[in-house]
Amino acid sequence: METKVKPFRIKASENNIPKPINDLSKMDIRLETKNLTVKYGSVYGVRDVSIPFRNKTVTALIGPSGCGKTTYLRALNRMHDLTREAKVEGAVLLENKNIYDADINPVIIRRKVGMVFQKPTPFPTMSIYDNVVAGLKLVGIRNKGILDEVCEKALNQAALFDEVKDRLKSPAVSLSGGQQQRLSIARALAVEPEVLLMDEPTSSLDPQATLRIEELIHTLKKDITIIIITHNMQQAARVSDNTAFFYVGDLIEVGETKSLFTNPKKKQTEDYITGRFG
Amino acid sequence: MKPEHQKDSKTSVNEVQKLPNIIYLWLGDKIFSVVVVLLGISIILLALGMAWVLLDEGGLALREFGFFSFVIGTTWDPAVQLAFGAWPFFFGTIATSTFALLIAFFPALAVAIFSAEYAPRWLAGMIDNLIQLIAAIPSVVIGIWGIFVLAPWLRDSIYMPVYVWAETNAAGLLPILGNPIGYGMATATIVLALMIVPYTTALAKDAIKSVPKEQREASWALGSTRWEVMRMAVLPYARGGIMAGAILSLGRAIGETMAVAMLIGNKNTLPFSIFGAGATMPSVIVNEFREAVESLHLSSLMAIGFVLFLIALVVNLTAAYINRKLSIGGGQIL
Repeated sequence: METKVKPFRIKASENNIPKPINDLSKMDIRLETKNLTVKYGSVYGVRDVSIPFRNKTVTALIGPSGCGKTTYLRALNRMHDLTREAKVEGAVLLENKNIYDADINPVIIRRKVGMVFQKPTPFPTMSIYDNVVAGLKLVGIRNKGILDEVCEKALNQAALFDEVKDRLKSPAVSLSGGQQQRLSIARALAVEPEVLLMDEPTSSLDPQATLRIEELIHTLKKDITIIIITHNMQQAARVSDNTAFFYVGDLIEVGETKSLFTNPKKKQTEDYITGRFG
Repeated sequence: MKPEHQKDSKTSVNEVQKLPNIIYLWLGDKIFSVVVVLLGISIILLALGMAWVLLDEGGLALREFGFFSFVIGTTWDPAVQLAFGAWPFFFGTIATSTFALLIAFFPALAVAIFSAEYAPRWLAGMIDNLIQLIAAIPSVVIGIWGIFVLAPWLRDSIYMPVYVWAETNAAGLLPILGNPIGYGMATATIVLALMIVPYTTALAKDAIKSVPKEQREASWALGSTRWEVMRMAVLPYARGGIMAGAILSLGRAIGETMAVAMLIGNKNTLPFSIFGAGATMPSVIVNEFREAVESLHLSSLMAIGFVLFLIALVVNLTAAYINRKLSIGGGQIL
């Protein structure tokens, strides 16, 4: 297991040096927020946040509890639509189209922008198999061959297939916590999202399971754009290309992970990553 | 030696507090436990006592006919033969309440889903209050409404047209349809359905409300529409509570007396027909109790009460079992 940690280190080989975030060509940006503000009633969740997310990169959102990371993340696939009090201002551009435009159906957005939550959320009455293909059945795919194929692929991507291949029909709740979380990831991946949002996906997992999820993020990066919230700064450093630091609803600093951790531009960032608060 | 933080303080907690006396410490606790235990046991004794009285008073009839023969006996003749069999009422009870549940269940579930998930807050609150209001209407009032409004309406706009149609087109159906006078099994079933809708709705709503937010969000995040969230995450999670609530409502329908007695037509002999008169266990008890002069007749009514008690017990145990069997995590309502 230990040897597998290696790939996370940001190596200075040619193809994975993240480009500096401020000279991006427009083509490269998959998702972008412009002056995004989320208010709960009159209280600000996040204020005026603009971040571009490049295609096939991992961006970590860090910051102390209550700093607005989750609020920000949930704005990216319109989960705030479900909270009566929450009000979103500004724009979230998915491929240069604002997902908050009146003619956009949030259901379609959520199929393109998948989400994995802090706690594993398998549907308890469904089998492992049915959990994975739940999203596919929503879009009307009933063909058993396709479902089987996608189920195996998604479980493989989530590094769970080998553990469950003999009991795909058993209840999802029979899995361990770490397996359930990987199942939740497989379920999100099965619908082939373009962007995957992860809200502290490893916070309820043991180190072993955490490691597997981190490996997984590294593999997934080849195909999709990932935005991950984490409280663990080592994790942010291990898995992400870019990091954004939030503090009380404001975006303090965003940049290439390596430079943000080694050479933060703002005092608050430095204080946080060196453990002086938060 | 005192701990560090107490050294300098002038008054330590031990000096200030008065130790409660031994009577308070020992006896107070004992008295409280005894009172609580006695009250708890009294509920059990009350239930057992009621069962015992019914069994004891009904013993004459049960000994005369035998328990099983009494339940499946089809003759109920308090006037001439003095033969008593509970089957017509048993059948009438099960038929009316089961069909009432079948009629009430889906509309009630729909109302529960609407008020829990779809309705804006003010409307949901209004629906809840109205549901409680319906549940609070005394059943004799519903009975009167049934006699003067519902039954005539059903007779004129449903029973009669169906009967007239059947007379010319399907004469074979006439015995099954029965006399469309307006007071009978169908009317009683419909009124029962109306009366249990509030219970089914309230219990289903509780079950739906208890589904964790995470489950809904997981389904939303997959790109579910509202209805798909209900079907994928909410209803499966809440199914234990919903089903248990339905069974409990069935229990209420089985025990409902007054409105049924006023609307079912009260006929003691099989066969019952859809529109025609019938009877249920509670209705026969309330109708005949005052006039039961023969001790065997009175005892038979008591025995019916005992059978009803057993049915209620079975229904409640079933509801508890289903709730436990089907519920997930916090989804239990019982």
